[in-house]
Amino acid sequence: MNAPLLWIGLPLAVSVGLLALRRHTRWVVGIAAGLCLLLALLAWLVPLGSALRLGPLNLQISPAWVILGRRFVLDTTDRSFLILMYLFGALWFLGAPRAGAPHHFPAIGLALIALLVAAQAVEPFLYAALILEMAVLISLPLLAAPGKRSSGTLRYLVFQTMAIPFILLAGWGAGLVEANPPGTRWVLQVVLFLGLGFAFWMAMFPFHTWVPLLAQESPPYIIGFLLGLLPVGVLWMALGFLDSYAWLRANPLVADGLRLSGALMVLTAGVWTAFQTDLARVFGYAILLENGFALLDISLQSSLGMDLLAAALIPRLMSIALWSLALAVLQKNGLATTLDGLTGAMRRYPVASAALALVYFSVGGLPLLASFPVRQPLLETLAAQSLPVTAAVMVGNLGFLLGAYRMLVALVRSDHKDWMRSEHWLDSIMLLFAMLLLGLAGMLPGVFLRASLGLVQVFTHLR
Amino acid sequence: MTFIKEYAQLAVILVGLTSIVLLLHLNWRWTLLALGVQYLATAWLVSLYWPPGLAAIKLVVGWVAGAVLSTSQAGVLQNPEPVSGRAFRVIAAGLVLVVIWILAPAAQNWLQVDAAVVLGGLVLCGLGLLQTSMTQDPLRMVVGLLSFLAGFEVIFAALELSVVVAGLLAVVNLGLALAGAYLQTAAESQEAE
Repeated sequence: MNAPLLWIGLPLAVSVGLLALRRHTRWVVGIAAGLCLLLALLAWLVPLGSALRLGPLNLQISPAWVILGRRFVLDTTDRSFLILMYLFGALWFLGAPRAGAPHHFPAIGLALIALLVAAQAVEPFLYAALILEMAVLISLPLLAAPGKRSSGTLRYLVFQTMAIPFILLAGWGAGLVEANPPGTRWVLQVVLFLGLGFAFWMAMFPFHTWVPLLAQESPPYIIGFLLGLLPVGVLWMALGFLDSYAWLRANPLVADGLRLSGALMVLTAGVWTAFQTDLARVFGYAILLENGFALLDISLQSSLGMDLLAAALIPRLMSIALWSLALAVLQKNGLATTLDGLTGAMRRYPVASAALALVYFSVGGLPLLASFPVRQPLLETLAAQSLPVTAAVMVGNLGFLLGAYRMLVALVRSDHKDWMRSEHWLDSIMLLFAMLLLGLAGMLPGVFLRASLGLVQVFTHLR
Repeated sequence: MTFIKEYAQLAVILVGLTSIVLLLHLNWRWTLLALGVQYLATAWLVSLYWPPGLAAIKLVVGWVAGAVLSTSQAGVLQNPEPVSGRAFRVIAAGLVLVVIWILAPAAQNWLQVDAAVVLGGLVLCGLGLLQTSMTQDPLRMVVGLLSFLAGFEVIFAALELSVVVAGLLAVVNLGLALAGAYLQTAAESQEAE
């Protein structure tokens, strides 16, 4: 038995089987969520590479799997990543029936997680680009349902595909730089190729237009899953690349580029948000804002930056989950997600409206909420490095909070005096549970920090 | 083999002509025929660096991709397009070709590969991107992406001979074709509604 077979091969095989069973929603959801929970539990309990004694049984899971001369490696340092991905998947699949996700979502979602893990595990890195493109391709049926507009899906496909050549060329160039003495002419080219490749993948400014468009056109629950997982997978690949090559870490262009890209993402996403009237589009901008802050964390190139990145990950995923679930509940009840459509929604859908308000202000970094403990040290450190960048980030953040204020006004404005709760009790319980978790992440950040620090232990050179 | 090497410029001309035919947005049969010829020229350029058997993979994959895309075209009605739209795209293609002509020597000097490979690869990438950026139609957008990737594959084949990369790129190309067919079908059902 080897780890990649268990955490990549098995879910891929099961996802194919689930596609055949997709009409039996409860079974499919149960199997997908159960398998994800089992794989997360195994990643937590079973040491990879060393023997585990279970009574008379001696279980050993080797970390590598060789296919056609290429290696997939999942060792002890990847355990936190595996737990995060599969736990996230399990929670998402469990909520799928209530959120009205399509029948084939658990099957495709499971395959998507397995491919993201494969992209993380493959050696050499070159192949990750192609595996990630396969993940993008299999996600398309979730995004473009027959009879719906799909211009956002097309743009998503185009921008993600355009990353492939740049990443493959960067991987090839990195091999040349490694083989030649330092100062070789290839370094600049590799940095540029890598930058462009990741800019397409991460929807960095100005390649970000597909994100709000896709969020507007596709089901919010699917968008939350996809745009929650995909950037995390890409970020971890970028960190792996940075961690592997000393000449890349030492290049000043990398830190400057990350800082500039991150600040531009926060600024543009925040300012654009202030003028949006559709909360589904705002959801897309919120994800861009989070990606921008993640890039700023990495740009610090210190152990503080890596700790902040890890600490921000759990609140980020919880926020995306809550936001997408709240939007899905409102849409399921026939409400448009525009400010006009949500006018007075607080009196009819108080839990979903409160969830939206909480998560909006939380992503905006308001004190006592989940993102504040990770934003504050980041802004402090950034201010010591570059005041213009800090100012740009704060302007973006302010714009985002202005959008939150506009939404709050729309939610509470109503001519009716009576309250009439119209949400299903199960939806309310799910939303309240997610709100509680998000609230706790703001009140007790240390608990969540300890749980997430293991995620970045693997990047020994970046810490 | 000597013929393939000596007349490699012919493949570049084929690539340019088929790319312009694709930009004309003729009916789907002409589009897929041009794509098929374009993949023939692509395999020709790839065979300058790869064994013919391996280069033939590009041709087979391209033709299968075209066949997959054609399955979504039954019953698709194409709106007549004014000549000005086509003329505009041809002029834009001309400008892109001029830029490529200027950049190609520097790229060749940098990559140290055959001039025909660089020129053919850049023409495919440039005109493929132009095609992708000037349409909302799933078929044409995916055809543009396939051209763009084919251009990259021509250049990358000269830099690295890897059977696994070739295999995975073939899977990606076929996946793109399937995605194009799916998105076209989804768009058609939207119009029907």
